[in-house]
This record gives sequence, C-alpha cells and structure tokens, in this order.
Amino acid sequence: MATAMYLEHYLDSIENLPCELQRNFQLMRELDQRTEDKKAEIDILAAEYISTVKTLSPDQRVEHLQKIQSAYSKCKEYSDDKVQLAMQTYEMVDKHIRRLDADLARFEADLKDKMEGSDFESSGGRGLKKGRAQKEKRGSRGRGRRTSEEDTPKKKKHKGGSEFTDTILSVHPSDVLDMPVDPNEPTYCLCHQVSYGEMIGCDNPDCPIEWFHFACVDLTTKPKGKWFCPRCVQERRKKK
Amino acid sequence: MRKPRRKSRQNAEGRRSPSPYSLKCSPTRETLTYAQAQRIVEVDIDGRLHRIGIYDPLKIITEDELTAQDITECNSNKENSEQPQFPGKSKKPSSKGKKKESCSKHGSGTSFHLPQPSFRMVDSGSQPEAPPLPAAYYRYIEKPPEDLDAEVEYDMDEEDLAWLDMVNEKRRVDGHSVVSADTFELLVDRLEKESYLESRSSGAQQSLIDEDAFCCVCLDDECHNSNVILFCDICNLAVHQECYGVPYIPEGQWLCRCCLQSPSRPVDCVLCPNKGGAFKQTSDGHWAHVVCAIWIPEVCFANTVFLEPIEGIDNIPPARWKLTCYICKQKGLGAAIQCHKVNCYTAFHVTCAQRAGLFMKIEPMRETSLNGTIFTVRKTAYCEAHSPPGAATTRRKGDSPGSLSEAGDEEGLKEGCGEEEEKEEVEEEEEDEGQGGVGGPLKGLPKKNKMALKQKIKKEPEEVSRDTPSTVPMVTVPQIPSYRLNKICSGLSFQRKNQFIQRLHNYWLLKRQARNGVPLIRRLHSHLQSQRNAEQREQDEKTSAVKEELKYWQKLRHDLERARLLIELIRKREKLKREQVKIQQAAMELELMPFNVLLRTTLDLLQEKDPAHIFAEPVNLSEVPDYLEFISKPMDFSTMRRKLESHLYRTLEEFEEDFNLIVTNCMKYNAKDTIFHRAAVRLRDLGGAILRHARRQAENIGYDPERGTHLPESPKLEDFYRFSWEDVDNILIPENRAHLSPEVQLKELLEKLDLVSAMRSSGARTRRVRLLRREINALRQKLAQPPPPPQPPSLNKTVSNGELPAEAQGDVTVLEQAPQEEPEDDGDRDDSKLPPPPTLEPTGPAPSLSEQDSPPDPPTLKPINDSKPPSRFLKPRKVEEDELLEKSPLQIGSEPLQRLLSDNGINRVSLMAPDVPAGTPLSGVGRRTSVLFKKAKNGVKLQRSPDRALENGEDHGAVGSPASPASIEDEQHSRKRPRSRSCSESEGERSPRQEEETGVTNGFGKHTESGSDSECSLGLSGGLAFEACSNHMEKNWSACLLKNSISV
Repeated sequence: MATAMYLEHYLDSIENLPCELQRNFQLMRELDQRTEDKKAEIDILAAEYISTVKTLSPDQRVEHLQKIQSAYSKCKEYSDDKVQLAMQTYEMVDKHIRRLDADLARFEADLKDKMEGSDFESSGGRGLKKGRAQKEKRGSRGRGRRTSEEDTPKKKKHKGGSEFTDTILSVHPSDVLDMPVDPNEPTYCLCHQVSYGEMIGCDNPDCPIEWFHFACVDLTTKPKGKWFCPRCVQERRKKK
Repeated sequence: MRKPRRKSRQNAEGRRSPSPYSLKCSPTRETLTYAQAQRIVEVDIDGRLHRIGIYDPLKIITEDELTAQDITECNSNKENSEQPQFPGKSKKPSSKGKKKESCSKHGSGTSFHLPQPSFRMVDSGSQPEAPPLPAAYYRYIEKPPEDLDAEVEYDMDEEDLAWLDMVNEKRRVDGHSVVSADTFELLVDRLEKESYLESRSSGAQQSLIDEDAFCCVCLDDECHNSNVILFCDICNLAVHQECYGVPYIPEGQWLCRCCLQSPSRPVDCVLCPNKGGAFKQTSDGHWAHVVCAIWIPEVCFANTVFLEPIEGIDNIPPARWKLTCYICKQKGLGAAIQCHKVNCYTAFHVTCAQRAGLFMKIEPMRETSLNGTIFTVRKTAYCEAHSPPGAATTRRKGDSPGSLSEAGDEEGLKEGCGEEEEKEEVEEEEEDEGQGGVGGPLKGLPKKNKMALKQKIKKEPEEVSRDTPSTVPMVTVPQIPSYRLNKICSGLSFQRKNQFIQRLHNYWLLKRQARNGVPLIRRLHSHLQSQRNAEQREQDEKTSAVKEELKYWQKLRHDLERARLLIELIRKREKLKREQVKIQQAAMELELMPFNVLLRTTLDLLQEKDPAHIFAEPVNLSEVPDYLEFISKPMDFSTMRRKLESHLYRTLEEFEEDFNLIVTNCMKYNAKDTIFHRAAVRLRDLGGAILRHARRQAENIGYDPERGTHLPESPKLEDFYRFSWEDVDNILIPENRAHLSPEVQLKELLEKLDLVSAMRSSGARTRRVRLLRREINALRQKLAQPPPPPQPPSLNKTVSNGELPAEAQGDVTVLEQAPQEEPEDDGDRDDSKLPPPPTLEPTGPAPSLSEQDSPPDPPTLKPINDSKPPSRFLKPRKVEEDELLEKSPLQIGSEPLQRLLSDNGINRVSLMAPDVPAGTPLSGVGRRTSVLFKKAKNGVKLQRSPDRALENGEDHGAVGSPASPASIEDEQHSRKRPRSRSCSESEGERSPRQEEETGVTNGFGKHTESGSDSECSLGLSGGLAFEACSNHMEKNWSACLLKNSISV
C-alpha cells in the first residue's frame, strides 16, 4: 500500500527518537550533577569565607568572593546549557509530531482520493475516512497550540453516507480519543490551565508563563506585531 | 425410473408379475369372471396390485433387498391401480423378454434361456501403463473473480447471432467491415460487468433476497441443496424446486409460470378466490394454485415431475364447489375442502386455510396392512376448532401452521373404497376413485353461485386496475455512464465503432429488460449476493485493518504528544532552575557581603540622581589639566564602585565621605553658577536623602564593619517604620513635646513626616502631613530665632581658614566632633537639605552647629532629653547645651576641637572678629563677580581656597552674628534681620552674597507659601552659605554616622 510507504519511513525516522531523548536526558542529568557539585562547592566556600572573613584583607576577600562568583557563573552556564538542551529536545519531538501530523493528513488525503477514485469502493471506506478526519480534528484540538490555526478551519465534510458510515462515525471517534487527561500536562496562562484553543505566546523570551489563552488575555484575534503578556507589560513599564 | 419390485414372500405363486408390463393386457378387476378371480391371487405390493395365477409356478427369489420406496417413485407409479391381471400363462411370455435381465440376475426362472456371455481373449493387447498418479490431487480451483472479470464469459445465443447477422448485413451494405462474434461477446461481456459493478456500487438497489423466505406452497423455509427455494425474478415468488416442479435450476432468470406466461395479466385461481401465490395452468388453460391442486382430492397433476398441467378440475364434484369457506365466507368461489375431523363439516379454501394458519399437514405415511406396507401421502387439514392443541401457533401472518398429528382421512375421500387406504397421490393424474361423490352436506346453492359470479365480475375491473402497475415489473438495468462505455470500447477498433457500440448498448439494454434485468452472465447473477457478502466482509476487514492502523498511528501521536509535554515540563523546570541559581547567587551575595550590597544599591541610587553622568567617570585630566592643582583627591562614582567592589569600604561613613568628596570637589572647582556646580548641589541634596535612608537601613539591619556581614543578631530593632496615628497626633500637640528641645522636636516632627509621607495616600495622611509641615515650619522658625551660638560658624571658619589645605582633615575634625549629634543632625539635615528655609540659610547652619555641639552624646542624650522634665525652659536649655557643648569637645580632647572651642570662645567674644581678619583681605576676591572668581580659580589655586574659606567663614559669621542677637526678637524680626543685615553688610562688597540672599528670600517665600519643607530645597539653587552649611553638615552627619555605628 502506497500509504504505508511514507508511514513506514516515518517509523524509520522516529526509531532514533528514544535514543536521542535518552542521550539528551542523560546529558541533562550530567549537567545537573555538575551543577549540584558546584553548589556544594559554593556552600563550602561560603562557609569558609564567613568564618575567615575577619582576617582577610580586602584583596583576599575579593579573591575569595571571586571564586564563589565564578562557581556561580559555572552553575549558570550549566543551567543555560540545560535549558538549551531541553529546548532542543522539545524542538526535536515537535518536529516529529509535525511530521506525523503531515503524514497523517497525507494518509487521509490518499484515502479520500482512493475513495473518490473508485466509485464502487464501498461507502464504508469513506465512512472510515470521515471518522478519522473527525478524530484528527479532535486530536488536534487539545494540543495544537501553535498549530491551532491550521486545525480549526478543518470542516467536517459530510458526504451523504450510508448508515454504515454513520455507525463507524459514531463508534470510532469515541474509543480512540477519550484519552485521559494527563495530570502532568503543563499548564499555561494566567489561569494555570492546560493549553486549549488558540494560544498566544508572550514575546518576552524570559516570560515565566509564555503561553496564554486568547480568552484569558481578552483577545479574539491574533494581534499584530509584538504582544506581551500583562505581567511582562508591567515589568517593562517598571523597568522604564 | 421405475424399479421392478418384488415381494417374494407374499407371492404364493413364487413369481411376481412385472406389473408395468402387464398393464396393457391386464384387465381390470371388474372384468374378471368369478372363475378367473378364483384362480388368481391378488397381491398388493407397494400400493400396486399384482395378481398371480394359482397355477403359475412361483420362483424362489433370493432377494434380500427391499429398499424403502420413496414417495415420488411410489407416486409416480401411475399404473399401480391397474391390476396386471391375466391368466398365468398368458402373462409369462409377455413379460419374459422384458424381464430378462432381472430374471437372469436373480438366477431364477428355469424356463428362461439366458444368453450366454461370449468373450474373447485379446492377448496382444498389453495394457498400457497407467500414467503415474501425480502426488497432488487434482483440484478444481475456481478462478478468482478478478481473473474471471478479465475473461470473456459471455456466450452468444441465437438471438444475439440473429441480431449480429442483421447488423452485419447492414454494415456490409454500408461497406463496412463485419463485426465478429468474438467482438460482440467481448463487448457484451464488458457491458455486463460494467453494469454489475455499477449495480454493486449503487448499493441495495436490487431487492435483496430474503433469507428467511419460505416456500409458498409448503410454507416451509427449509432449503436443501437438491431442493432450494427459487425466487421468481419478477414477482419474487418463493417456491421450493420440488414444490413447484423445477427439477433443474435454469440458467439465467427463472420465472414462475404466471410471470412467464401471463406477465401482464394477473391470474385467478379457479379453485379459490385468493390472489397471489404459486400458480400453474390447468389443462383447460385456466390457472390454479399449486396448493389448491395438491389439497383438493379430485385434482392432480398431469406431469408429476413438472407438476403441470393441473388436471381433474372437471372431476371435482359440484358439492365441493358449493361449499362455503368459513374463512372468507364466500360461497361458490372455487372448491373447498373440509375439516378432516370426523363429523366436522367445516369447509375452507386451501389458500384461505393457509392464510388463516389452519392446521394443514402433508406427511408421508407407511402403513402396514394385511396386504402389505403401503406408502401414502397423508394430508390432514383441520378447521380452527379442531386443530390439535400443540399446533395452533400462528407462524406467520396469515399463513398456516403445520404440525404433526395422526393422519386423518380427507373428508372428500371418506367415501372412497372402504378397504383400501386413501391414496391421495398428488401427482396422480387420474382421479378415478375420489370422484364418486363429495361426502358431507353439500350446500351448493345456485343462488350463491350467482352471487359469487357477480362478485367475481365486480371484482374484475378493480383488480385489473390495481394490478396494472405491478404487471410491468420494475426492471432495473443499471445505466452505464457514457465515459465508461467509451472505456469499454476503447480497446477495439473497427469502422463505425461508435454507432455499433450505441446499437449494441441498446440491444443489450433491451435484452436485459426482456430478461427482467437479470444479468446475462450466470456467474454475476448467482454471485451477486455472495459476492456482495464477501465484499462486505472484505471491506469490513479492510476497514478494521485501516482502523487498526489508524489507531496505531493515533497512539503513536499520543505518545509523542506525551513526550512533548514531558519535555515541555523539563524545559520549564530547567528554566526555573536557572532562575533559582541566579537567586541563590544573589542570596549568597547578600549573605556574604550584605554591606556591600547595601552600598551598591545606595550607589546605584545615587548614580541615578546624576542623570547627566557628570560624576560617573573620573575628571579627564587632559581636558582640565589643572584639576589636580585644586583637587587633591579626585573622586567619582566609578572609583567608588571600584573601591566598593574591592571591599575597601568598611563603613557607611567611608562611603559617604567619598560621595561628599565628589560633591565638594565639584563645587570647589566649579563656579557657583556653572551647571556643574548646580548639579553637585542637586546631587548633594538628593543624595543626602538616599544616604540617610541607607544609614537608617544599615542601622536597622546591623552590619559588622569588620566583616562586611550581618551582625550575628540584629541590633535593637528600633522599628523606624512602626507607626500609629496617635503618635503623630500626640506630637502634633505642642504641649506634648514641650519638654523636648526644639531640635528634638524638630527631629521628631521630621521623622513623623517621613513616616507619614511614606504612608499610603489617604485623607488622614494628607491632613497630618500638612499639620506636621506646619509644625515643622513653626519649629524651624522658632529655632531660627534664638541666637545660635556663634561657635559653629567660627568653628567652621577657623577650620576652613586654618586648615584649608587639608580639607579632609577638617572634615575629620568635624566628624569627630559631631558624632553625638546624629539624630538631630539627621533631622536637621533633612531640614537643611530638603526645605532649606531662608531662615536657615543665614542662621540655619549656626544653630545646627550649635546643636551639634550642644547635645554631646546623642544616643544617651536623647533619652535624657526625653526624660527631662517638661518644665525645662527652652532658653536655659540652650545655654546648658552650650555649656555641654563646651564640655564635650573638651572631653573628647582632640586638638582641633580645642582650637575650635577657643575659636568659639573668640567668636563669642567678638562676633565679627573672624570675619574681619579673614574677610577683609580677601573681600576683594569675595566681591568679585563670578567670572572673576572663575578666573581666579583657574589661575591661582591658593588664592581661591582662602577666598572660599573666607566666604564660608564670612557667611557663617554673618549668619551667626545676626542670628544670635535676633534670638530674643520674634521670628518676624529675625527674619528681617538677617536680610537687612546682609543687605547692609554686603551692600557694596558682596554681590554674590546678595545674590544668595535673594535666593534665600525667594526660597523662604516659597517655603512660606507652599509650607512644604522638601520641595523648597530644590528651589534653593545656589545659596553659597547654605551650601557650605549643608556641606558642612553633611560632614558632620557622616561623622555622626561613624560615631553612631561605632557606638552601636
């Protein structure tokens, strides 16, 4: 089956993902370990400093503090690395997901073509396809944060189907899509809820929240230009 | 298909007569004479009567087989009622020839000459070796439909051939090539297959075959391979093969007789009034139900295999015609049967009974009687009342139930031969026996007959009208779209192709229609259903497979999503960790060098007050090469920061000192009205507040100057910010603080003002702020009035005068001298800096200084002051303070202080003395315009500094002297005084002074107007005296700080 081909390719491509994830996490862990070591070192240094500070000359003090300082900067470096690594990993997985979505869309399109191409292909196939389309839609709803725009306009195309179609339709989406809500799903926005619907990202790279529901920030459409969340706006104002 | 049967045992003669062949010659029983009858033996075998002459020798037959006779065979023996009856001898020869094989087989019949088998040996014929059997079985593998689809399955029939010939004829006439039969077949085949696909895709267009259809003759839905239920392709009639007499399933469509022979006209059964059902034609061209023919005893079928035509209608006795069906209540319509229950004469039509679900049973019977075992078909039908109890279930709406019960004689045959069993063979053609009469009450009334006739007539038209639509059955021939048609013939090439195709298509359509839309290819027809099922299954499989696949992908997607979420969480965590590290670092910094942090923030704040970055960097010596000539210790913020970072500041005082250096350096080097000077003043004012705040913080927090860290335990938590309105209100009432010195009062008030203004805005706050300000102003004015001890100015002057080169040292001296004054100084500073009132400008420094002097030990003094009885008079206290002041420096015993003291003393004695000696020589300089001054500054360093010192001194002196006398006078006076005095004094000589004066007055005016201390300070721009004073005081203050911190 031609459809299986690129899906197979996809499988091949995703094969390495676990390894890469593991590698990245391993790296992260190492960095974490190093950071912790540094922190311990800092603690020792600090204790030492406090105990001996009376006898130290200013230069010595500076020197000592410098040591602590450098340890801290190392820590920060590691932290930066870790963040970088995490982001990289995220991008990687995200890339895979996007590709999978694209492939699935293609799969769907192929199925549709096939259905339409051969007239005497039963309506069952069509029904299936439709069920799938709907499923796709539902699937993307929960998670398609950034891709929400592409997902939402997807319309249910109801071609007059037989009862068979309808039965598939009614049965199909429910079983696959009622995935339990992941309790660990990251939360966003001022409301601390999981992402849903259309989200907007704060343009402040250091924003602690990053993503906001449109409704929670009183948006209905995507604003033009840069957008900052209420908190970051405050911060910026304060800085000014 | 009759098999010779023998029943040897019963045949006494030992030889049985081959009945079938004796048929012709055998006379009927009636024809026998008595003598003949005496000489023969009648044997009834299998319902057949055999007569054997008593003289005939009986053969011994070693016949072991007596197979069960099946009903049909039995039934099909039409001659069974005939008795082969002839005298024994006559029979023999007739049967001899025919019976040869059987006789020889049985080895009996001595009188027969059996043909000897003759054979010859073929020696030459060596049997050819049989080809070895293949290992595998041959197996017929049905070609998959896909392959079959590719083949041409269609075979032309005569019709097609005729048509093709016709078409070809025409083509030949037109001069075109002939279309071959192969092409024709191919095209038709393709058309068939297209239409097949078409119909398949169009779904359930064709009526699906009812799975639980039942034969409408026997009302059974059982279906064997040899006896399947057939459906008429037009009327969808369902009948068993056997029930309708269809031994072989025909190729192509199958139509019931009715549809076949009278498709457009509905037929009526002559035996019953009901429509529909399985009809057969009667011998006279009418129609009758098969069931009716079966059940009515007089009626039989001419051909028992094909069950047609129906015969014996004429034999039906009139009584039967006259019976009234108790179900349809119609009399004279058709023939009815009666309940088989004895004495029950209820009559009903067969079809009515079927529809009513009466008990009707046909069963094969095997009865053993005296004559032998007879196989019969027993038909039993009961009326509703006599239905056996277990059988009265209605099976289907309007259709009959059937259940077993013991056989009963059919009513109509009751009067048949008494001894013989009723042999109601359906297939029997002749109904000789039952004809005798219809038993039971016959109520055939001609009247009713007429009525029935009328009814019939009446019915005719409506029936016709009703049935017309159904007569032309919907023949659905799937339309083949033109593009498909084109595709079909695309592979062929002959002349006038399109035309031919068009014609062929039409022909094909017609043919299909003629065959009621049944596919011309048998396979497609028969496979339609099964394939549909298979396809469905296949599709289901496919669907589920795709579903599975999708589920898999969905799961994968889900897993990936989860991974993404996880990583997102990790990313967030790492970000938080990074933040944490940063915060930890800050915290560590705070822990290790909190003092530095404080200083740093203070420095930042200070630098913020220098928006033009005048003081940010060291003075560029290449720009101002002479800078170092005037300034011995350059200072700037960056240097401060550097020092700060290298932990060179141990105390806030050191820090403050550097800050002051910045300011003083600037003011020293730049002329008063330059932008730099002004900036310095401004910085000093604003910075003072910041430093004061920092000091307060430092005190509250408590630092270890040795280590730059926090003290092990926090110092007396003198909660500066603790606050209640009562305190403020208390302090607002003058009586409540009457016991305090004005300075203390002022300080308290200022503190409260700080507090209150730190509050969040509210009505109470603004009101109190206003009150406080008023009080503060009042106090200040009060403070300004008493003649301040002249020492401070003189001190200042002397210091500046005498020790000018080492200004820092002077600072130090002041520092050392001043520490006690801290709190008051604080308040004062506040005062001087923020709202430097005009009164203060001339007088301010003096009193402040005096105050500094007077309370020797601020921390200790403060409580003392507080505890001091309120009766203390203000003036005396002043004096005392003076005394104290005199004492305290002494106690401290530092040299400069002593000198200062002495200077004070001198000052006290001769107020203007310092002014004169110092001022006079330099008065010229002092009087210079700013431009001149500037020049001088640039030019001669030495000259400048004295000048400046003089100025300071002079100022103080000037301020001090008028102030002290004025102390006795009222405020107004005092305020006027300095002004007038300064005017008078500075009239010709001191233009700067004058300027300053005006500035002061302005400030004062402002002050009075606005009533706000703080804002005023800003208005005060270039008052030299004031600057000096505040400058001075700052030094004092820093000294205080130092002292304070030490004491703490």
